[in-house]
Amino acid sequence: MLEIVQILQGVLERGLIFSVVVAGVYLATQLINFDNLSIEGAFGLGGALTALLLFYGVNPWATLLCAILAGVLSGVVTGYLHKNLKLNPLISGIVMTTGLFSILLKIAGSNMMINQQITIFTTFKFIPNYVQKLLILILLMSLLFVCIRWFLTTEIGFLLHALGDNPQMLINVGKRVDRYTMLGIGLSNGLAALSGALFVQYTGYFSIWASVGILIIGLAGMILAQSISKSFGMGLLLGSIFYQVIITLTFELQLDQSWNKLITAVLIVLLIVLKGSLRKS
Amino acid sequence: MSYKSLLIIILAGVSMMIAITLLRNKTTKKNQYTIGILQTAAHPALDATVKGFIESLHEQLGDTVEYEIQNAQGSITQAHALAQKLHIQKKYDLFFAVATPAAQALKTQEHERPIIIAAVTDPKTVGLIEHNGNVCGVSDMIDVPGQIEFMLSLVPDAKTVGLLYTAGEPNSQVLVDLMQQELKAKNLTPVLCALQSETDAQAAMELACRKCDVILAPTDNTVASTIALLATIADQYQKPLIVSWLSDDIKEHKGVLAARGVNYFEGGKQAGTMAYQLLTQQTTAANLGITTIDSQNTYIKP
Repeated sequence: MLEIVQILQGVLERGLIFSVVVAGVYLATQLINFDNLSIEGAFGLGGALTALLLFYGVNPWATLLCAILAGVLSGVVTGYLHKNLKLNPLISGIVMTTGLFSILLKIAGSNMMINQQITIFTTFKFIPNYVQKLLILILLMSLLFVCIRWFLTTEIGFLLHALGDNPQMLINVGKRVDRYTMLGIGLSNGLAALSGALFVQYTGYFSIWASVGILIIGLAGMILAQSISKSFGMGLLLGSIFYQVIITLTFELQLDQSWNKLITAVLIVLLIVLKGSLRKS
Repeated sequence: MSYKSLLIIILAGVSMMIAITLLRNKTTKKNQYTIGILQTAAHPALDATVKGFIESLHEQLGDTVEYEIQNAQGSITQAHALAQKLHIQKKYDLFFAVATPAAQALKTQEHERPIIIAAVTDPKTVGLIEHNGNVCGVSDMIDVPGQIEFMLSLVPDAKTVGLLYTAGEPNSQVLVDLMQQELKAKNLTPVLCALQSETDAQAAMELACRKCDVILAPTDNTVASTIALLATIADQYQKPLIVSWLSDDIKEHKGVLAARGVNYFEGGKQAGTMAYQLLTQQTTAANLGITTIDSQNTYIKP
């Protein structure tokens, strides 16, 4: 029985960490209507920077902030490529992720171990380590999601929403579309970078290949979340966690491992179809 | 759809997971030993390592060992999730991690039971080795000075040497740094031809063929995967290609001039012997430590 509790705990922890990416994908794709492919690069950037800063003994919580800032910067550059240099949204994202790969190699190399004794998951010395990870993640995610929800109700939040629906409206009220696009992508990438930073502190090492496939995790989580509600909130967390359940299921089924990816694909299709038929009934 | 219906779906998924976990535990036969294997990706060299490991254990212990092979399919997130899954199950006596990401994922979670690693070139720089740790295994480090000597014996008048490797592979980086030092010491000019992914292999190889007298490839997963293509290009340009690993398929490519270096199947067998010692004798992982693959075989195209 303990085994199942531990499996579920792992699923929850990973689901919570990747829910930040899901939120980032949501902000770009749903809110400002920009298909952001620079998410993968930003995830790696957050991870690399965290690994490097931890190596130099920076406070683990401070590294999270630095990661977010670096992520925001990468998003702003992506937005600049798209809006000012007129690159197609998909191209600007791909270009950014490609370029960041070299920067990541320069920041942290291809692989970097960190000291697991000093991470945000060891902040409270009096709580045993195995509960602490989950506890800190739950606290952090609740805080983060409440903050973003609040932010979306502010004037800037409304304007971002308007940007996705009808960019002309922004021009009518005298706001600059390019600035708001950069802000939206910046937030999206900032969140992806935070997720990358959390993942490095959680697993104990940075690897340049960790960001490969992150976009799928983010997109799948968001699509699953859409089945609950179109707005920002708990749905994104649940979607991300549920995607981890699917992944874990494919391990637990213990079929030939080569089938894993196909099973994941089929399960996602099934879910979306199921969601459609439930809505009709 | 509301929260309620999603909750039902989530509950269904979770209960399915629980049912499968319980069912699986019931159906497992009681074997004497159980070993959890975590492989980083499906790849000829890594597959050969696992095959060698299992074969060696089979020779020494017969059918008393049960294996559970998990493959992370090249994904770090998946490697971590699988390592967690292996770590929380108490039935495993020891773990076998193949290639660096798998080894790191297991090491960061499992601190008690022994982890045998293989196909890792430099376990120290990637943080796998600590004092009195639970990691032991077989490194696939090649003998770099010997490699350069071997190259010069085949192509004595070479001046520029192309080093073909993947940027971002920690193992290759270590080897390429060593090779560069060694080449410079011998007054040869190393030319770095790095590829980022398999799709760049052709471009990198063509550059190497145009610029260099001879092309040398360290043990590198991506280079190994694209060896068929690389050998064809080498053949087109009539340039000697020398690789640092030995496998059966090397001999089939007519563009490969020679191979000298590690045999992953043998490495797997050596790791299997370590597993045998850990299971049956009173020894610890710290005692066994890290060894290199004994045999440095050579193959030269007839």
